[in-house]
Amino acid sequence: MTAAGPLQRAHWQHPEAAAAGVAVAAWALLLLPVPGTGTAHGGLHGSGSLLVLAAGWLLMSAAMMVPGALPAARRLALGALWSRRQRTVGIFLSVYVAVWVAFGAVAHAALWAAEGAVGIDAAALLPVALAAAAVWQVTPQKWSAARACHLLPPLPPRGAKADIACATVALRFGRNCVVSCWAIMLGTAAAPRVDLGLMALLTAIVSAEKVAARPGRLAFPTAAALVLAAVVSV
Amino acid sequence: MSQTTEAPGGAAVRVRRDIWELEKARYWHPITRAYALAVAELQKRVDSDPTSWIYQAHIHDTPDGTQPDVFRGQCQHMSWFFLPWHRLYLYWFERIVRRCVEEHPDVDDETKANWALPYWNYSPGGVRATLPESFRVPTMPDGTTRNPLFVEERNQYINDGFELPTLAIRIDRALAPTTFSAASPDGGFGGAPTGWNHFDQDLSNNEAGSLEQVPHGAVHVEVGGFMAGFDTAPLDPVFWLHHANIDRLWESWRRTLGRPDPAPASPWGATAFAFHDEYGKVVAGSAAEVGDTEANLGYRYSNIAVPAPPARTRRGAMPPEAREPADTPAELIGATEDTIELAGGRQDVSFPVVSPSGPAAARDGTPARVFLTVEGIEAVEAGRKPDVTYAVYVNLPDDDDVDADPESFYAGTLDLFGLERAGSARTDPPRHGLRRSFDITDIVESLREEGRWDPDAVTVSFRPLRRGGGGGGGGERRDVADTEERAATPVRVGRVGVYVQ
Repeated sequence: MTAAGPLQRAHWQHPEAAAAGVAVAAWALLLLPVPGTGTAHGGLHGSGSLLVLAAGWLLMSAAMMVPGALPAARRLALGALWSRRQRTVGIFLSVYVAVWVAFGAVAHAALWAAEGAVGIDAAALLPVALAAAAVWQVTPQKWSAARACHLLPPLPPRGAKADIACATVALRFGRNCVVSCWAIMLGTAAAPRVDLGLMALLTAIVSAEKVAARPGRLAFPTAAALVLAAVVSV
Repeated sequence: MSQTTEAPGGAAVRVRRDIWELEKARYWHPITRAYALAVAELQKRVDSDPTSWIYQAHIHDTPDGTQPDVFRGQCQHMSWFFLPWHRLYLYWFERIVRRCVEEHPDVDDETKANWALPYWNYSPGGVRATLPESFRVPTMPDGTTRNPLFVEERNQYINDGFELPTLAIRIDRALAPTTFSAASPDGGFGGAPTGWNHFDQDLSNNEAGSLEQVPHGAVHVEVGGFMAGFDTAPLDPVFWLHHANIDRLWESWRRTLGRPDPAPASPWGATAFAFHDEYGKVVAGSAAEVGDTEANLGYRYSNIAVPAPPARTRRGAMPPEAREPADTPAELIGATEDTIELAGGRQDVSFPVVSPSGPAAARDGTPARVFLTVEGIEAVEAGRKPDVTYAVYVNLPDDDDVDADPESFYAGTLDLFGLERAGSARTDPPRHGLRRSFDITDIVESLREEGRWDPDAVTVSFRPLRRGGGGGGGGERRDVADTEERAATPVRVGRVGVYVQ
């Protein structure tokens, strides 16, 4: 047997550990105390700066969406050449988060348009979005997309072909995840002062859907949780 | 004919007997006939009745598009729950059948008192590798009543009484692992440690054990028809005899070879599964509750003797499967770049491998284990059942090398049981890519010793199994060469790779 310490062995078994660290760091940054705004999260969301808002959305995407993608990243990494394990995790999660950043851009643009053209207060959309998410939770389309997140083909072993295949798998994974979770994340985008408790709840829901062996069983419990969240957020 | 003894607790212990022993003693043996009568009775029941034939089949898997519940669509595959779940499944099915037998007016008292599910031990080959005639004739002994044991949809050569291919029924590789469970890509004897895993739901780690692949999966596909599909397999009455044999081989591995199961207190032992008893009442059981078939379940097998897994004489050492699994993760060292397609003919693929650079590199360049993996298997036309089983070889010499023994290059048999479910996200749970792995440590070591291991070109050969051998069941002998290449469901393989550990 190879003489290796527990940390070394954990690293061998979990090549996605660094990515998990990124998600933890994103949460830590969001929780960072900032004078005047409570937390960094509050400051980012309350800012009128496009750059700060983009940074905030990137942080939220990393914090909320990366945890549920870690098992998929691990599976792909364990099937890669040893020298490509970290690269595989990096490409997969970067592309995946990029998909969510793109979604955030579209969602925020739509919300601004709604505010400007129709005069809807985007902040008031939070309970509506959460209620819509609850309805979406019990549709077959939602769970078909959630189940598709479990389909991970093996990748070519090396070179640009492996990188492109990994990015393609991440794009498909991200697309299915957006179809599955768009309503939940729209609620997050709509809320200028969404609290971290709600974010934690939504993170738990989207992560559980991705890793559960029988994700469809989560339909009604998660819908109920979202209805409750909508009521509380009114 | 008494086959009932006393269990320690005073309960009767039934004996599951070899179907060929029964049928050799008497064509349409009373045990076989009682089974047929009970199957006919179950087939009359409404589908929603938990004790009906259809409901019992749906416990294994539901038709695609039908959402499972806590009872249906529950079979465990590519997982360490494969053996205990199927043991429970058979046990409760056997009780349902036994109640039918006991209540049937055309069954004699002795049979009622002794009836237990027979098993089909095909592995000795010859006539035992053929399906008994009572399962192949369309009518019961009276010549007019439909025989419920006959399934027309099976592969014709099976219903014609020809032998299952030798490479589909061998048990030496199946019994070789000394560890019940091992992480992917190994799988051990009984499958990788997973959570609930109907097919491939556990993203972190799933792999079929050696027994689940061959003979289990290979026999499913070779019998064909209903048996070749997840959701239809239990509709063929021989399914239950096949799985009784798989359950028997687990007993052989445990008791005859003295191998240990996982700890009953582990998640393997503690995870419970729900079924219905013979009265339709909900029951539950776990692996920890079925370890001792006599004491816990009241049955035993008439014969659990098996030959000890032979040492691979080429290397003169203990078989590689007998080594303890390494406690480090396996490392991919090479794989195909593109998908390949298997369509019933021969297929060869070559790819380079590199030296390990992870934990296996610390073993002086000699990894403890080498695995060949076939991953991302899907039907080209989604939903098609498998109809061909392939022998897989590593660096197989050309056909004109008459001195080469193919056995020396035989990695294993690629069964494709579950193919029709691979890649489907239509039902819950989703079904992912089918994957298989083979321990090729001895082949690689031997090739290295002989100077025939070229890291720049590892060649993996797929050869469809020959069918039509024998004829001991009554059919005429076929020219096996004529059946070697045939039209088949095209299968796409995402990647063929080599891992070291």
